[in-house]
Amino acid sequence: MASEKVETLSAAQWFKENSEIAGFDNPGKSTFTSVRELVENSLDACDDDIQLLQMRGEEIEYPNINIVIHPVSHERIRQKILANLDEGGSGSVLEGIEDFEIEHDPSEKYYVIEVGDNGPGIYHDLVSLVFGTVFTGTKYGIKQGRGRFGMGAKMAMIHAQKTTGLDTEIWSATRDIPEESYFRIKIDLKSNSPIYSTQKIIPDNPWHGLRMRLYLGGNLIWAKQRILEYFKQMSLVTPYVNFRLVIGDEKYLFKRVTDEIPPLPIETKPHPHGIDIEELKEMTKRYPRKFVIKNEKNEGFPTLAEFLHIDFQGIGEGTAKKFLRYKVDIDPNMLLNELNEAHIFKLSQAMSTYDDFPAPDSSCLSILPHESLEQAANVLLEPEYINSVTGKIIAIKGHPVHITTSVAFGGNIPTGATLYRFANRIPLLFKERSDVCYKALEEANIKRYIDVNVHGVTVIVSVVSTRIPYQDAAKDFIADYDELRETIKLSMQKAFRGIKTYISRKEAEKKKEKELEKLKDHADRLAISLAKITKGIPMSESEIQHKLMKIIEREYI
Amino acid sequence: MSQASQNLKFFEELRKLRTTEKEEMKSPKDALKIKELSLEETKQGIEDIALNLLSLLDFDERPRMSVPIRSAQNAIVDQETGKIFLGHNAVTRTLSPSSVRQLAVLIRVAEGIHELLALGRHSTKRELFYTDVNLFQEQIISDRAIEDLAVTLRTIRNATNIVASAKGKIIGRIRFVESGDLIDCTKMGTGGKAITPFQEQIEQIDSDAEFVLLVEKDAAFMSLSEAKIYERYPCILMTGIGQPDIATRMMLRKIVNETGLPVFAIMDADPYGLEILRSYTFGSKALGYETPWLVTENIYWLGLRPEDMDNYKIPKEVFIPLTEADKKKGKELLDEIWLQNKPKWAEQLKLMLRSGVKAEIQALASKGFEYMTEQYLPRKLESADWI
Repeated sequence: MASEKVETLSAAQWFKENSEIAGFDNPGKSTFTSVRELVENSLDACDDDIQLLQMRGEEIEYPNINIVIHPVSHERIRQKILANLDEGGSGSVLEGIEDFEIEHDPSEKYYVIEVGDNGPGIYHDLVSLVFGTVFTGTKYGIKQGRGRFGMGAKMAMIHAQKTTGLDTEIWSATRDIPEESYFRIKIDLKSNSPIYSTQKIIPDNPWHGLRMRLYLGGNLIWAKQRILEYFKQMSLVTPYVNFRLVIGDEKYLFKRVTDEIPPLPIETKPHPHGIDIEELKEMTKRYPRKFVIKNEKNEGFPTLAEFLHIDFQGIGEGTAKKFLRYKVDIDPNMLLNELNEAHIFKLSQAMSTYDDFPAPDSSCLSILPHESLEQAANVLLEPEYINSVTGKIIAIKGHPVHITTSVAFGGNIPTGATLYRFANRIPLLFKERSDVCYKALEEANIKRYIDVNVHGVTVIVSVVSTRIPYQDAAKDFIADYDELRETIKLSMQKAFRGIKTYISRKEAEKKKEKELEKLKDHADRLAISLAKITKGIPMSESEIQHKLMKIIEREYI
Repeated sequence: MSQASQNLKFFEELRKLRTTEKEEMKSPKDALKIKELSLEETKQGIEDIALNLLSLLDFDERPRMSVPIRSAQNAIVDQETGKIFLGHNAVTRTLSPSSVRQLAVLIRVAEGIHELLALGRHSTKRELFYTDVNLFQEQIISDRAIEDLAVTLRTIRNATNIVASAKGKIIGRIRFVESGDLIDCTKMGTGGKAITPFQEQIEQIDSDAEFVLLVEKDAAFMSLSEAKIYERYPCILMTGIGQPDIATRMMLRKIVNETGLPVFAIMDADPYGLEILRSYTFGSKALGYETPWLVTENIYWLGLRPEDMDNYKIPKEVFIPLTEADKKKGKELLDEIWLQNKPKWAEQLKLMLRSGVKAEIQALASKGFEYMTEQYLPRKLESADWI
């Protein structure tokens, strides 16, 4: 984040209206969501850090993420509020929260949630920009990302503010400046700007990373199992990270199991199929820009053909001209500033339906190698065998979608079939039955391959895309596109076949071993009988036995 | 005509049915040649099998031996007589995953029998099974191996000193010496004398009977022995109680060989009754190799025949419809070669299949408890109603 361009976009009031789809609709879910938002925020920061270090050719640091969820008494919270007031400063505790009466849900308890990472940290001056406003993020280009709304931690901050009225505490330090920044911050939802009760710089504190502490109302009874499941599944697809989790007195370590960092996502230009009319308009507004255009006499505006070539992936100028002339019926040499609403409408329509653009580029995606996932699965699930399959890459609305299916079999996996779903390497834990992966699993007819009444199977499906085709804004499950379901189903079946082969091979080996055992037993018996009938002449029992074994070894081992 | 003169005429008829031939039964050319071996010969045969296996082993070759197949697929039927024998088809038992078990079982049985012969003792199949329950697991396994060994040695099972517990019974006008004891079968109460499995211990057969009455089931045997049928007619009453065992078949053959008496059979009027009749007369597929020791030729089918149901006015209520299995079995029997030697039997089978019903001997009781002994049998015998 230290390296990214940030931009103020929109108002924080959004949260109040959309808390449900954002995952803050009840105390339990809010607790879970707060944790995951902070963690995913940290993971994104660490990934960016790794990418930057790799680009510079420097040694990378493996991410360590520490999570503490600690119940606190109501009294503690009250004291904290009073202390906050005493510390005064700007007296900001009450300011900006008039809209939020502190709500006391009877099922609600109070928790401190703290998440810290060893990522790049945020420069002191940028903290207010990053955390103070709601819609902040990279805007141009598309990129596979974890974040669900581009605002991760800020949602949790507002939730904390809403339930306890307490500031969020932030500690941050970057690699290049050996000092720590400390903030107590909340968000003024009206002005969409940060309110600091405290901010200070502590010199000579040479760590780096970000640590956030929230005081919020929630319900851990509901959330605890989900949180543990979340980390278990998260460490399966993020096996290069250490997660240290403390919940009250309990400590959990989800240990890093691989040194291998998967290729991280790369930002690419959008594919013409993936752009709607509003986005197209936004894109035309980036001009005039002088530096990108060959012919500068047009005052920084490109021709339409140039615009398509520069701003979209996979369109050469030739393709652009052909497309504009024959499909859209617009002069390719028309300048971008000459476009009117009708032109834009026509262009947008044509772009989304033209079939001759190359398929979306999938090389920008971050795909976890099979080996890393299998290493992690071996530690977390302790299966007997894993088979991983890469599905066909498909395009949905101009975005490449990549499927990986791993099937872990036997060992410590309890009987039955369990489905793990991942979207851009984030576990999806809710609304399983609505998900395309669940439907694909039903259609894949696992019983044809594996008897799940006898064997335990975990089916791990990872969907990666520059835009995951979620069903709705809550982003709990992936929509049921026929092509996607079919692709997932086929990859599952391929993986199941691998397991089936493994099982039959194992059974054949077992059978052969058993047969050999029997062969030896019977040979021994034969030796005894033959020796008895012939009274040990011409061969003793042990001689006969020895010779029989020699033959068995020669013929069957 | 007086009762006595009638009887006299009847006995004259019967005497015409007697056989005088005692020569060895000829087996067809392509049948496996089976010999009755002496104790010493059998013991030597087993040692030879073991030594053959060891000599292969001595050359580091897999021990292997050839064992004749004893199933229906290797049964051959003498086209002339319809009798069933065993062919030359054989399987190889060797040291391989698929056949080592059978080899080990066969040689284990050979070991047991070898020991038995060395002691000059007999044993039952059951006892032999218990010598190695672990290996055999089921008695049927060791039983089959005994037959396999016998046929491998080209001899009959009796030569292995393994006897099956016999279930047959005999009563009536016959005396013989069994293991040195004189047995008089007229003094056996109503239960009869159990037929001994040790058939080679039977000697000095003496009888004043005019025929043998062979019944399929114990129930018919009991009612006839209770009625002391052998006092009314000079006869020997026998039963194998269902499918006859070896001892019963041997005993019957022995009696007929010694006395030349005709045998009248009373079976159920169903396909299984006819199949049992076949076992006595032509042999069984499972024991084809012992046919020369087991088969009795001079057997006539007295009753209960499908045609009797009309002729003797048996009430329709006691007829039982043929089951699908009955029909299947009946059709299979029709196709068998031995039946061509008994066209009258074939006629009865066809009649049974046409009418679609069967009846058991007990059905005669529907006409009164004494109907069989007082009316049916006398009428049958005296009107020479046998085929």
